[in-house]
Amino acid sequence: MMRKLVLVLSFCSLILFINGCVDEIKIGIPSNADHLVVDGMITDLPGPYTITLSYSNDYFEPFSPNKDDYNIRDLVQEASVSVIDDQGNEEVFAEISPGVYQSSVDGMRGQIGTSYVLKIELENGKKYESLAEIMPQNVGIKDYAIDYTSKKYLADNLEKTKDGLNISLIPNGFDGTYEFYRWRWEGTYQVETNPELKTKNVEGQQVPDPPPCTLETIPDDVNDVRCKCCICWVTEPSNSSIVSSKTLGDSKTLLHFLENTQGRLTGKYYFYAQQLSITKEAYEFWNIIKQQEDSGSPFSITNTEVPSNIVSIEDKNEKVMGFFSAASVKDIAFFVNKSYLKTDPVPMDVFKNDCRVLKYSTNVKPSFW
Amino acid sequence: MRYTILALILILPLTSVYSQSTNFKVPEHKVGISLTQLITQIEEQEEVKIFYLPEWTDELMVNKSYAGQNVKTALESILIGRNFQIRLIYNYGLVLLRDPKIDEIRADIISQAEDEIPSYNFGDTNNAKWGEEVTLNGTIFSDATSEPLIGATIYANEIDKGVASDANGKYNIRLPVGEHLMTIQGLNYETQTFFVKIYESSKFDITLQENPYTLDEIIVEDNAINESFQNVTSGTTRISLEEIKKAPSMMGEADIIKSVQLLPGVNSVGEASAGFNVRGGTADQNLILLDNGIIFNPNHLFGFFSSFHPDAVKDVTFYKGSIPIQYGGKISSVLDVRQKDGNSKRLKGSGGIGLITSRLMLEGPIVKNKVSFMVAGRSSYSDWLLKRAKDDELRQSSTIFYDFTGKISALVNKKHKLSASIYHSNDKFKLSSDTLYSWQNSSVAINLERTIKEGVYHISSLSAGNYSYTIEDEDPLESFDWKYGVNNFQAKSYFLWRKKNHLLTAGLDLTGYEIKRGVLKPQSAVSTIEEIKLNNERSIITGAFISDEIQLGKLAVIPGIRLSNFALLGPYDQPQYDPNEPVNDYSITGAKSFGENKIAKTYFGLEPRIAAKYNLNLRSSIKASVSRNFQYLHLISNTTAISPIDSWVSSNEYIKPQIGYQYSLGYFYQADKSNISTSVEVFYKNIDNVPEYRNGANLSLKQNIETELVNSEADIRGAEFSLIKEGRLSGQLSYTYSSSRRRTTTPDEALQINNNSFFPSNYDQPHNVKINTNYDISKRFVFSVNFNAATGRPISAPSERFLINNVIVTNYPERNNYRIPTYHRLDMSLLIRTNHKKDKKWEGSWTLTVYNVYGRKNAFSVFFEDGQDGRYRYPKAYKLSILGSVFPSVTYNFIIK
Repeated sequence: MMRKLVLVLSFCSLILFINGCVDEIKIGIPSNADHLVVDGMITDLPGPYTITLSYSNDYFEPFSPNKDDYNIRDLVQEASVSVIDDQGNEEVFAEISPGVYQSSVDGMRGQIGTSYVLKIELENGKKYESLAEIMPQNVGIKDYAIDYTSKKYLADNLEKTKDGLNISLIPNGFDGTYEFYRWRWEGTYQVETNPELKTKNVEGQQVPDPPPCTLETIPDDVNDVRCKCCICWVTEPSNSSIVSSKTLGDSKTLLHFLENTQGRLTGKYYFYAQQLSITKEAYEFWNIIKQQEDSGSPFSITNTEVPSNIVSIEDKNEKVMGFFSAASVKDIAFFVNKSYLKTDPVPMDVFKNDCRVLKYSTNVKPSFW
Repeated sequence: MRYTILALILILPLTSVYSQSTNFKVPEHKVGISLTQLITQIEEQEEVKIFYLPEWTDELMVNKSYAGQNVKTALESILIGRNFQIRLIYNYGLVLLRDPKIDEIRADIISQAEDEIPSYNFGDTNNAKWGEEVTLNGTIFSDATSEPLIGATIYANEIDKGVASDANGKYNIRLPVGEHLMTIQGLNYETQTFFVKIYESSKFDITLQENPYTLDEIIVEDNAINESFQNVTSGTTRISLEEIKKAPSMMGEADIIKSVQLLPGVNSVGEASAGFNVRGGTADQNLILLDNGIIFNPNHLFGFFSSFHPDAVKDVTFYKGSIPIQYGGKISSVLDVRQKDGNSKRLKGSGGIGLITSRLMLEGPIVKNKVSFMVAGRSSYSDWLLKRAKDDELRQSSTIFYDFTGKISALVNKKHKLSASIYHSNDKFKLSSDTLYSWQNSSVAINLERTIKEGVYHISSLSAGNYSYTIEDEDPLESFDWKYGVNNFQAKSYFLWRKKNHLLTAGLDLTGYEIKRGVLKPQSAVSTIEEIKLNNERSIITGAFISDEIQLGKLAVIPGIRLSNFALLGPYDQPQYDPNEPVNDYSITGAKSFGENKIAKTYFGLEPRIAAKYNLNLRSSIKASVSRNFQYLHLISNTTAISPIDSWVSSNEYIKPQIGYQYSLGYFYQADKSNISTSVEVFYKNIDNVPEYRNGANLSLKQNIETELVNSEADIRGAEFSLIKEGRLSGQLSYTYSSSRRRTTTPDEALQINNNSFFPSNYDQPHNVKINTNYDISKRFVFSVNFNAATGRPISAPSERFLINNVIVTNYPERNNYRIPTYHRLDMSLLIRTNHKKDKKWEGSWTLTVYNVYGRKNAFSVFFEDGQDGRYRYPKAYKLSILGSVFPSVTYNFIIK
């Protein structure tokens, strides 16, 4: 909002002076990347738990140059990863895919009040350790709330309105001492696409090019020919930092603005949310990230260094990124539908391709659907 | 004869080795004879030859007997204060030496005079104590306004001694008994020259005639510059209104704060920035006074314009070096703005019509020659400009601001002058249709100046003020109303005693603040905003101060001390923190509660200050100062520019007062004839207990704000080089180097910023070049050019990114590790006077201004976010500029006589 304010204040937008006020500039910041990044958590939900190891990217380098998506580029393979609790129990994490390490299905399960330390040894012999994380208790979720809202916004200098649903959680009352929480969620909805209408350009002409999955035989019944990529389920994850450190009482914590767009509310929308009780250190980590999400204007908070709880054993000055967390998790799942809307649900644009091409999409029907 | 003496000067160093082996005695002589006669008598009766010019000695009377004294000692005592040196040569000769320039100066002045130079006699020759100094004092008035003139200089040419009239137009100069050729100058006033024959301490009020024009072809020396040369304290600048009006400014609005920013050592972070940084200090370290009332935010439209009405202002004095002892509470600078008293003879007015604002000032007598008034107002009508914008959001925005000021002054009797001032400024800015920002400053002040007896003055002021802002959001789901405010009052009373070589200043002040730290309220039933109410902070600062300006020949020294005591008053709840843990929300162990008016915390400040000036010769001097200042109120901000939601907090148990030390040393040189003066000043500042925000601090509406701050130390060093030229082509060229660094001082690693190593402060701009020039093309046209270039200020730039839990995280490895591009801007303006007859009732002028002549898009800030390249999102750096192009404007100004 503050940036909007400055833009309005600036004299560039005046009709006499049509040049823009915001211009891209090239700046030379010395590269300071390729630090080890640890992304992992142990919870009190049944395992397996996952630890992902990667190297940080240069700021100006896209994570993945070929996709409109952020996939980690430099994953750290062949590391030894284990978690040790304060009883001396050790759980070894095995690499299940490049850079992704997982505990065994019937292995360690996190317990409230127990402290956990992550140990990493890289292929080159470098050793890292997390600070001890003591899993805090979780007050639990009391309820959820869905509120209709509409917002005005500007796009291409025209005022437009978008509407949708504010999805909030209401945690149980905290006891007054400081407790730290983070929330994350996943939302699933069904999409229908039209791969049969897919075309390709042949010598300037658009010719039909339906992918084979448009008409595929069902293995059980050779006569039953169906489209296997017309209906998919898209599961979109939360990609922002939602944290709180106050004594919340019964107040709502807004998790997501579910916009009435692209068919998300034409049918039902499955919302799964986790409330994670985290340590003070984890809160401070996520809170800095939260601040980054609202930065950029001269009047916004200046960005600062992101802390980490991972240290190098040999070189205390080596910068390590990321966080290993121990969190107690309470979760909730519910369906949201168009009945909460005060306007008509907005359908999805016609998409002439395999529905699995969509981001976060699968044609395997989820168990809860 | 003159050449003989010049020749003698040259041989002297060789011959004076003989020293005073011969002891010539003054014979018995009559009292009341001239020095020439005495010398003749001595030469007749003693084996001594005295070399001199009779014109030096004819006028000097010998009114006591020196019989039996050493001749050299006797002559020295008769000639004291007249810039003579006496040397012994060849064991029989005494040479009276005087820099021949003095005679040249005298001859020049006499030859240039159009009319006969008037001569005034003061005192009775019979009572004259030859060889001693007496005082000439009085008040310098303006003929046009009959108001006392501030900063007019009265100058004894031959002995190179001058003083400037003070804030009440009063001057006081010590002169050796005898004849002096005096010059009185005031910018925009006709220079007066006259002879003074003074035999006893006397009073002499002088009225200067106003010049019909700002600058005529006659070269008017800018007395503000002279004054700065003569002032004992370094880093003091008086800015005259004319200088302010000539400088090209945004939208053609004459602007006091922007004029201050033209001075070396003063920076701002960009166009829309409220506040300025003085010698590497923060913007909250400046004390801004309007007729002694404290003004917290003198800005319109987020800093585009300052909220002081240019026509209402009489005088602006800016202290960035050694701050006079009667000012306290801020570390870096004092901007003392005085308003006009109002014309006590006839009704006059002035005003201006510009593209987005209009202003009007009226002044006149209520009781002729006794009681006068001045009222001035300004209002914007900038909405039309916004309505023509291309951008929808801009079109829906609206802005309005106005300011009003008034003053009534009364000469109660010859010894009492009473004035009352009132000031109010208001800004409203509505963004789109949702958010309304508004802020206000109000101040009332009463000033009483009393002459107890000649040379003893008593100055008292009483002021009260308020600064507040409100932010309202009307979007129903997020609707809120956020209020913040600071109330203050100040009572100050001090005495000035002039006695011979001393000017003693001593007094007391009492300042009270009530900071209403903020209330956030939801404005609709469905609003998700939770109500927050922060505790108020009330504090009282008492001060006692004393200083003495001592003249010891070529050396002038002002030692002084200020004692201050800060008390934070209840009701106040001071959270207590676990002493083994860092101060944060999680280490609170309880709270100490203090009841109504109970003292929650006190601090005592010992603030010694000393300034000195040594005249190397007629034209050059060295000034030095050391000072230690305390500041008990802090503006807490972790944004780049002073934002509308920054707030002031009091010191408390955990937020300690800032203590600033400043050491400065300067060399000043005023060239003889060429109207050029130059100066070099170096300074070093060290400020303890600067509140720096912690990594990840959230400052808005935070109750126990100390949990978001970390103690830091500021280390500032710099040098200012300045060249000033007066005359038809006038101006100032300056270069400032300054390095303003911070470092946190906490042993707690988690709170350290950049590992406790030094980092540049947010507004550190090491290199700064400023050029401002005026050229009087003719009586009707004045052309002005300003150029300003400064190193880009630092920001924290990201170096790497990573993904964690589907969230993209950017790391900013160090605070302030990158600088935004260099700032530079050229402005020009042309002042056109529409008529130029001396007795016209209406005087009009046009100011054509082109701001940012070559349309540079200076970066105000650089920010980083994902940009779209076709389908792909890439992180990119963007610069945000406030001015996107050249910005012309026109203003019509008028004066009703």
